[in-house]
Amino acid sequence: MPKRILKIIVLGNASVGKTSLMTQYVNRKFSIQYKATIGADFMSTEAVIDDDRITLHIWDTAGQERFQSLGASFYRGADACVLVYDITSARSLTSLDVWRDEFLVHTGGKEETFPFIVIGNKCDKEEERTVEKERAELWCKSKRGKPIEHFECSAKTGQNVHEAFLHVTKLALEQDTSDAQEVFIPEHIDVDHDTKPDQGGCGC
Amino acid sequence: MSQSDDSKKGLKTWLKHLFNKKEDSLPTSYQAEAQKIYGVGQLIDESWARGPSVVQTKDKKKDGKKSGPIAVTPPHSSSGSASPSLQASVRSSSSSRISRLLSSDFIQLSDLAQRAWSGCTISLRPFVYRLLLKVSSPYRSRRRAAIRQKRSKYINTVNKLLPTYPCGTAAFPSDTKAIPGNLSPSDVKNLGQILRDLPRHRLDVMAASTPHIQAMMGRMLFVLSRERSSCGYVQGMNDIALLILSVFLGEQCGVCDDDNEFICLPGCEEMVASLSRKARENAESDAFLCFYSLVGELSGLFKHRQPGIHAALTNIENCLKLIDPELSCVLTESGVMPVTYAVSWIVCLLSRQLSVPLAIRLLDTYITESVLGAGKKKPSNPTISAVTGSTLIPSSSTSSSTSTSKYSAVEKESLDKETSIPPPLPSSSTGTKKKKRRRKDSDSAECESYDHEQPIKPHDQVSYGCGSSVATPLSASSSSPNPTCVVTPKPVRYECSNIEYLHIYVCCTLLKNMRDSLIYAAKEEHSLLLSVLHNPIECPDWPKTIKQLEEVLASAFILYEQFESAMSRK
Repeated sequence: MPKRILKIIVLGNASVGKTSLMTQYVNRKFSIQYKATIGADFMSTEAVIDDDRITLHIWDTAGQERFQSLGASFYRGADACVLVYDITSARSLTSLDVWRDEFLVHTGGKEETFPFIVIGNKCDKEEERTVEKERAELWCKSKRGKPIEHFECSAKTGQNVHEAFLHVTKLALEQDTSDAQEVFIPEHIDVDHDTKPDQGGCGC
Repeated sequence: MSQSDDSKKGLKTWLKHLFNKKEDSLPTSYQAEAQKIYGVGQLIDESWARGPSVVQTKDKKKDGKKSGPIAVTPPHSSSGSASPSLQASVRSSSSSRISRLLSSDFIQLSDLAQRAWSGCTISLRPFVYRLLLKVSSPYRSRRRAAIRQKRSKYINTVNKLLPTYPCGTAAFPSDTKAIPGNLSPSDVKNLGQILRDLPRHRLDVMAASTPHIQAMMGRMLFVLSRERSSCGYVQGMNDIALLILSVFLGEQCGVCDDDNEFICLPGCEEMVASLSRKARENAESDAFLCFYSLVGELSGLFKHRQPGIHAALTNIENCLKLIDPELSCVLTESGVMPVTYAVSWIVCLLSRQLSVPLAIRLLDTYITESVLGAGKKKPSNPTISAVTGSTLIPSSSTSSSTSTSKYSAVEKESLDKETSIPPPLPSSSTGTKKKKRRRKDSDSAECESYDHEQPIKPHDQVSYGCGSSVATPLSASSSSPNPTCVVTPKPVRYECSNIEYLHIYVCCTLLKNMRDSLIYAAKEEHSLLLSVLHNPIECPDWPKTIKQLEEVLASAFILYEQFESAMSRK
């Protein structure tokens, strides 16, 4: 069976919980004490979609603005992007515009079709909420193309985290197949008819 | 690859284990990690407690013989050539030589730096840091008054900025709104980020989350973000600040050479709490002053657009190409550029990838490098205004705090013990010193100028000490050490500081050490390679003891010299 690798980028302001979300998804664990990410963290996991085993490479990027100039290097070859805000911080939602634009500029992805999802993290902190769900959904609908799927998650309790990542994986897969004729990013296309994971170049 | 089948098998199992592991990627304790991998206990502790006992010297001799061709060398000597026993004695005597130097009326900073290059003991470190980072004066007569003035400048700044959260207390705002007065938008941003980062710290240092240490860190970082407004607060600064704070809190609490680093000691928060307010103020201000100075040396990593990081990334790639073409090729083919893993190595000076004692040990060498480098690259520019002083000689002069005198007693005792070791190789060490590349002939002239220079500027941006070294452009660095390795400064033309340069070679050496694991991982699976690079601490070839780290430093230094001589020949 051909093995597919998808590269997923997690973006959002500092301290919205990007590392926590990724770790919750990959390791099903939560800690309140993740160090601030510098550069980017990497984790890899497998997802099964329609009996296909998909390898996910998840890149958790640094949120601090200062590191944005480096962030672009991680975007290259991305198959999907997870935008994260914090439901207790209104600013983190409005910043998503910047993150999304920046991402599109650097990847050259099409605004209408590139697979994004939005995660509102920390939904266990209901009493501190400052971003209503409707507002976030409005933001998601305001973009060109299909409305962006919105999930409210809690990296702490694990609520909705798997669903969100599963969804983004599906989006990336769909995109992957529809894009197949267009642009190839060799790094992530595995040789289809070769069962060996041998590091052969592009077989096409 | 010249690896035996056996070790290959071991490597394979380990990589498999790493790959299949679905645990938290952050090890709960680095030491536990080391134990798990090596099956030894107290690895780090033992090697770290480099007390001046003769027994230990013997141990080191034994270790030295076992170790490969690269052994720890005295500062800037021709490394690798000295016999193991010689090296062992060099090391054990180095701290006694440092303390002898410290007791003189005038301290040649380049001499001190050369001696401290191969590390200093816990008790000497605060003095060495203050001197080398120009917080204190090389003149004994000036030290006390001067350090007092600098400390009070910091304390006053804190009082003005954070009136209700004075220096030395455990109080720190929990919210940016809790601060009276008008903060500029950038202040609010910096403070907000500092507040979010304070509770997040390395998992092996639980003490970092205790109130006193957090408040001290908060004040240091916030004041720094204002005083060095070109840098502001950048994540990663906190990792370095914690190490420096540990050094000076340890001094005030009277940690002795046989102990672990202060921040790793159980109950260190209680020790801090039981200090007098004055002692806490001293520790905090000294830590701030040194940190301020160090950040000046590293400003390229922190200022806008972070040219230092870009330069380092390019340099790592180029250097690796030269020292290990095969590995470099494997990494490039896998699409793994330094930017994908090395940013945090660079920004935090590896403090996240090493245990606390190792990270501080690395800092020792880096700090000396700033002096040695500055001496070489800027021979006729005596602008550094090191004006202050601290109590440099533990036994005679004392600072105002009582705990220092307690510390002095310990210190004196250890000095006595040390001097009983016969001083080895005077000739060889002076010989190497003479041909030392960074040796600065105009050194004394420069230091003389401290005398005449504006003694203490009351309210000047530079008056913490190392103002002149902020983003000091160094001549030898922008073009690459070798013609084939062209440094392409990305957006900004940038020349690495000396610390940044050595750090680049350290990173390259670490990569080269891991080459077998990396090459194997790359063949196996792309994500395995990335996992190894993102969790190098779990790799068997990653330094886990002081000795291993010093070997890395020695090899890095050889690289440094090689490339530099290639440069000068050109």
